[in-house]
Amino acid sequence: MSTWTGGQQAQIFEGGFRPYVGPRLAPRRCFRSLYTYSLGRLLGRKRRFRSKLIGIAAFFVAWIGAVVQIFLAGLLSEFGDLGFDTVRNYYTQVGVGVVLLTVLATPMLLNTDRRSGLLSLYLASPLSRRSYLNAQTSAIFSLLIVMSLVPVLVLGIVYTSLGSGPGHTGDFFMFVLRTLTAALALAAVPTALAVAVCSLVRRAGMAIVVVALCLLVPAGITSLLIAEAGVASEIAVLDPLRLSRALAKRAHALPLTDDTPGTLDAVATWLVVLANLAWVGLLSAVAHLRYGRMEVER
Amino acid sequence: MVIVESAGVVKRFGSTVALGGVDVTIGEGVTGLLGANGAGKTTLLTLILGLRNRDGGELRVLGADPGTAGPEVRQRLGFAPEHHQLPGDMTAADLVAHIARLHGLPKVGATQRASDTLWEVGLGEERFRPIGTMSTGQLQRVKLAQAVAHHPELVILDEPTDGLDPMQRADMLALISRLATEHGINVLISSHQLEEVERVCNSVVMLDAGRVARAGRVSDLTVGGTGVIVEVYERAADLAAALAGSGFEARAEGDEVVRLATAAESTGEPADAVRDAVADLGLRLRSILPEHTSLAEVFSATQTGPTGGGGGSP
Repeated sequence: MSTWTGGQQAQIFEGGFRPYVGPRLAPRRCFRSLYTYSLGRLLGRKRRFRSKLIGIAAFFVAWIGAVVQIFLAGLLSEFGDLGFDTVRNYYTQVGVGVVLLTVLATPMLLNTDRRSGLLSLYLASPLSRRSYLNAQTSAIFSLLIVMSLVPVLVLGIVYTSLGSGPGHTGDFFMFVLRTLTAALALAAVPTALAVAVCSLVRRAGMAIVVVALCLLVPAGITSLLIAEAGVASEIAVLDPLRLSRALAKRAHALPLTDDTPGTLDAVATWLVVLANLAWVGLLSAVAHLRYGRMEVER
Repeated sequence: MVIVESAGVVKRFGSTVALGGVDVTIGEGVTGLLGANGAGKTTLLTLILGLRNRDGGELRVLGADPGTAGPEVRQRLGFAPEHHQLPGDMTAADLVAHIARLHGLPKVGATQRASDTLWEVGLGEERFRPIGTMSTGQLQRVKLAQAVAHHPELVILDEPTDGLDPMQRADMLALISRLATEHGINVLISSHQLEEVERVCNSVVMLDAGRVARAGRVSDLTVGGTGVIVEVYERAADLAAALAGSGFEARAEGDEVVRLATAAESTGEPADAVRDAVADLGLRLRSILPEHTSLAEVFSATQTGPTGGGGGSP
């Protein structure tokens, strides 16, 4: 004989349409509703499998190296110090994941809202243009932070537990703080850039191309200008990816010894910080201005 | 209870005056918002929703100013847009629950309301289908469901019957009526379909060139004179002549219709005179109806633009 185990979770959902007498949460809660919904959407929740692929691919690329590194660390720990700098330098693959998610997922979120008519429904809800944009930007930003933070943090914990990490608790907490700062640095400029581009371009396909170009092309141009035309290395602050990477490197206090043209090791830290803030401020202003004036379809 | 109240509302876009001092009071029930393209309907709707700020005048929606308390006002409103674009990969239940949550319903409440509302609009069996696979009629119902799931005090419907066939239109109009009569939700319909507005609305607001041209209860606006309209199967001209001989002002319109106005010198009731004349002439009578002005005629008379006076489309 089977036993009913649904217990108190069982509910009847079809009760007929009648006046709603339940609680109504404050309008500011709708920010949170949109934020959590958009997080799920970026990861393809309740979507077809192909919508999930972007998130899966981005996280796979960003994290797979860390998984392999953890596996190797387990094997090699008996042979001495594993070298903690490899943990603090684990940002190349994270960078690829950040680019993938920024380029592919942001336009699918923001431009699709405009084309699918969801934006007009959102703006007829308690959300304002500003709170809509802030919720969407926060969703993208948080996902990029998680993508950047988790592999380095997990690697740090594994290495520390194997005796190759920070020796003192205080040093470990400093490492956690530095890792968090680096994750914020890696996520900020790409997020602001993608949101600004999506506010300017209507079609998602076009937005994907423009975001990709804005992220990838400046690296080649600035490197060429520095190497061939002898332009000062400070011009590399116009390369958003290198700029955010340079800030992450400084957050971890790694040695600034790379003299390859286009790298920002030779540029003063205050300029790197200022350039990051300027990028984020300028691009956020563009996005807010565009969304503030955007005409939505009735 | 007053739902929307405006006094001298002005909205300009550069040098263009979209609304040039709108004074209107919208009460409970179903109200139609009519106007030719460019008359200011959309601008007024966006002001009611608090999506734009007015340049002058006073506007209260459900007792609050949408310009300063937009989120609070919109929490009590529902809106179904005119366009048919909805996210194709979402199910109807997910979309309706999501919009209900944005209007302040908790998660479980929103899920339950989404289900109940989709059953109410006739999409109960289809609620887990992706919206992209739905017909235009079903899309209109999804739009209506997301607008009313949180049980707003006022729901704004923009062209709710656009793209529907006659049967679907009738169903949608019945549904809209039911929202007001059975569920106590006030409805503001922006529509080009004058017959439908006349059928479903208690009141109308007619805009012309950014001003209110006429507003009031449909029954008051469409009331005719004291005359009657007589329909016969043939020889309307003979009937008109006979009635004129009895002291009535009668005019034949074609071979089947006589429009009859009560003249000052006539002594009898128009209906009695028609009965006698029809019997004397041996005609077959189709109908006798009180004189009635359609909403289309009222609307046409209010329009000052190129469509005015000619029965142009609102």
